[in-house]
Amino acid sequence: MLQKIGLQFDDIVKCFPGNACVEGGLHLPEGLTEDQMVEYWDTMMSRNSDPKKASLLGAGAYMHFIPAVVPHLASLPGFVTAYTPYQPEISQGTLQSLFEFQSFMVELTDMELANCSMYDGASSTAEAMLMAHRIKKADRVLVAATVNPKYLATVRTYLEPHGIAVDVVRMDGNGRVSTEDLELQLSASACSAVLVQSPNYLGIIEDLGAIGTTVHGHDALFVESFTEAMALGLLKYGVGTGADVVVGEGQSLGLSMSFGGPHLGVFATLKKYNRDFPGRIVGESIDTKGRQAFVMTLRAREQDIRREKATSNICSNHALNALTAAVYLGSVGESGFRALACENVGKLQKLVSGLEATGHFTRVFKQSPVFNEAVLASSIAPQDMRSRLAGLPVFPPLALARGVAPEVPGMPYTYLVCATEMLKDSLLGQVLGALS
Amino acid sequence: MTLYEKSVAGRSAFSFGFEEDRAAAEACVPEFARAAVKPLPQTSELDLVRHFTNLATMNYGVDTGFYPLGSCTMKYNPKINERFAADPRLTVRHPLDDATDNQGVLQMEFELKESLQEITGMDDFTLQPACGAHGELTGMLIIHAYMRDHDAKRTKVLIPDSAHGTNPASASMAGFQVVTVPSNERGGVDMDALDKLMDDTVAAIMLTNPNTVGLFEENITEIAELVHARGGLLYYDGANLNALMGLIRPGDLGFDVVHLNLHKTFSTPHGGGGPGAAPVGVKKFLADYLPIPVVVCRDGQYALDENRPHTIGRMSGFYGNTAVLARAYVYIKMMGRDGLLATSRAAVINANYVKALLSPYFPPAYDRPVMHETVLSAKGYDKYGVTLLDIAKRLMDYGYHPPTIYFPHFPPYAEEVMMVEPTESESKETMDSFCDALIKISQEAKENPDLLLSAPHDTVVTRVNETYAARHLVTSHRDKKGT
Repeated sequence: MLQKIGLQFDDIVKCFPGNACVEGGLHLPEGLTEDQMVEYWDTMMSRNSDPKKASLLGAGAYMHFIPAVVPHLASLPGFVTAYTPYQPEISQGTLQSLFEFQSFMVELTDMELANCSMYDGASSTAEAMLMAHRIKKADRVLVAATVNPKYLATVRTYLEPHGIAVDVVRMDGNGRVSTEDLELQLSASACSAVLVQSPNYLGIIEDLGAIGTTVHGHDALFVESFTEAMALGLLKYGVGTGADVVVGEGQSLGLSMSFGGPHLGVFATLKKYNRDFPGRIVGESIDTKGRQAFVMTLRAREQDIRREKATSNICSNHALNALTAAVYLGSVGESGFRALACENVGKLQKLVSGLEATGHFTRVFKQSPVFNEAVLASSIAPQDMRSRLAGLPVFPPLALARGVAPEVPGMPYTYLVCATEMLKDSLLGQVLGALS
Repeated sequence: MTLYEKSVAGRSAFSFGFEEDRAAAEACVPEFARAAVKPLPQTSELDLVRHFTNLATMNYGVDTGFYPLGSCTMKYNPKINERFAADPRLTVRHPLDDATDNQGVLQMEFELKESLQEITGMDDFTLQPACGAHGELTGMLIIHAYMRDHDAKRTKVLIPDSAHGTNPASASMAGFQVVTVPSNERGGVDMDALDKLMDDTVAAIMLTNPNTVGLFEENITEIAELVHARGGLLYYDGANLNALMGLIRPGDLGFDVVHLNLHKTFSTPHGGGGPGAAPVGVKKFLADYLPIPVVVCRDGQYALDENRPHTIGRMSGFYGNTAVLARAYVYIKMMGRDGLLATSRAAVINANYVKALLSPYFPPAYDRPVMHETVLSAKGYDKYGVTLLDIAKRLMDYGYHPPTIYFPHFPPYAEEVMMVEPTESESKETMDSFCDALIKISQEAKENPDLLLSAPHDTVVTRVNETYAARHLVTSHRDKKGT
């Protein structure tokens, strides 16, 4: 081959500045063979704690059952080893799957248009706030104090360099965003968007409809966010509650937690914003013979065409995870998805009443409805909690910092406790036994 | 046909030990339950399996055949990586669980970080960014925060006209004003233009090296000296690092911030558009600005460090795409020192080989050796009435994925250029066959242009009408129904 090229390798790289070239090779070990790698990996992974069967820990990542058919189909090499579908004639598999994902998201969020994925719930939420700013132009946004703090931090990171003020709307006594404070802050000065999450960080379902009405009394976009996509099977979102954008985390739709990623950002909005939203979208079209065919569309918003004037820099996204979510929703189907949502609600109720019966726990914000997470005050300290649960295959619940929820006399510790369909009755019984 | 169109009421692949108890659930959330039924398709498991299995066959992937998509580095994705990424000891790990329970995963992340530091010559890394553009945004936010603390009048970023579109989009998203630097006649940065533009309002220059036309930036030392001397920083877009591993390191060339595309250089599969992962490396003076948390090792214990006083904050909910990081980690472990060097050498030799074979038919944009990819022109073919697009579509009939076409967008490329990146994975035989096909197509263009104009013929659909899609906007099943 070098003969055909007519050069030696050193001739090709002679344009490298000599003083910067690597001398004597990189300081990395020799490569491992496949069998050696398996051994190395096994030793390393044995340093993790034992595998778990359920999780009392949620707060943005959720352990759900993944039907075998989901990873099987999502790992077909035709999907996995393809690039972004720039050439539609040989990418119909990816394109149609993403179209189906978009269709499901439109139904579940009750919006008019969904893109074919963002990175995760937090970055998707931040992009929604940037979009609102592009549309409304006011250098101020409002975020409910009840939003997951990691989402709030991500929103701040994205908005800070643009000089957009991120003001927090305080929480009321029921663990929800205060509508009084919201009205006050909306009246104080112009703002581009209001961000509310439901279920919120404390597991509580916000009254999105009422908030939507308040927001639309002012000239701001209403951004609804969720961290637990399973809630889409039961709760109201979207146009019915006045949303301009619905964003959130789709990890619960057939994706594993994998220590934080890759997860799935969902982004859905109204058609009137179809020149403003970030990310890629697939549209239905026809080929030269008039047959149904899919293709990426509304491309004029994107970075490869608009460069610095693009609606976002997003290029690669989480397409394969969107496809996975489509397979998952196809698998559990219409009634199954609703059944799962209901089972999550029931499971949490069972766990909470069981924990309260031990006498060591009491629910905070008792009046507020919850989905599959709730805040409980407890007399058990976090370290004690961990050691009591150490022998059981469950992730212990999240210990909340002081001040996040009101204090309960005699119960100085607060936990955000999660239950999903993974918490089978027998394991639930063992958990309650360990905490009695 | 979509799943909705195959849906039959009452069918289900659902197999759980409970049924819908809506009354009980609604009683818990009285006024918030949605009244309307959410329509999802109803299919049996077998129908679902056939549906997606057939869709997968309508896709072209690296496992299908040669995929010389320039700038995308479509190398082979080793299957052992998939096995580890699917290991329950990795997948069933909650990101908020205590670090003491996650020592194995954190060790993997820490060792990956150390390897990337060595490969690039940088001092610290965040593994958080989800893909290339996210990495660029992270890097530019770091520079933005640094300049805010040190020299707030620096609000501009210089970007060569040859840069990928994400560069200006990311700089703009990080709050910078973008200034374009023209290329010179050899395909590199025009030094006179740089000299004029590089003033005390410029925060940084973003460079891809090798650049997006596959050429090594010959004046990199002079560029680094000039930019640094005038108070700016250098950002390295690592999209093309595949040409340089073990040969030369961006950190030694003077770059202050780099991002790497693990889904390019480090073999993780592209998934039809992600997920990828794009760790960002920085020199020591910027380490406090990295997004939190950062994986660290103290006395043999791995931990997630949230204490970075100048941190830009968070780029996402958790710590990055761990399952993607795991694949790249395994790739580096198995390639080792010599393997990575051999990879870059082979990637460069392969690109020059393809260039040599195709030059007589599709002249290269620049008459100089290339790095890992080559830009070739199809300009002369308009006299036969065919365009580069027709040539690309005809390649599909020969069983190949076309190269990147009509990129970069600036003169002298703007028109009929294709960017071919064979990667190191491909054999001489594969590249020979591909070049033979392109040469044959160049003959067909002269003798039977209709073959090209109507291509592709052998795909599941023929050319897809993009204008129709934009004019009759249907982006969901609900749009089809018109409800």
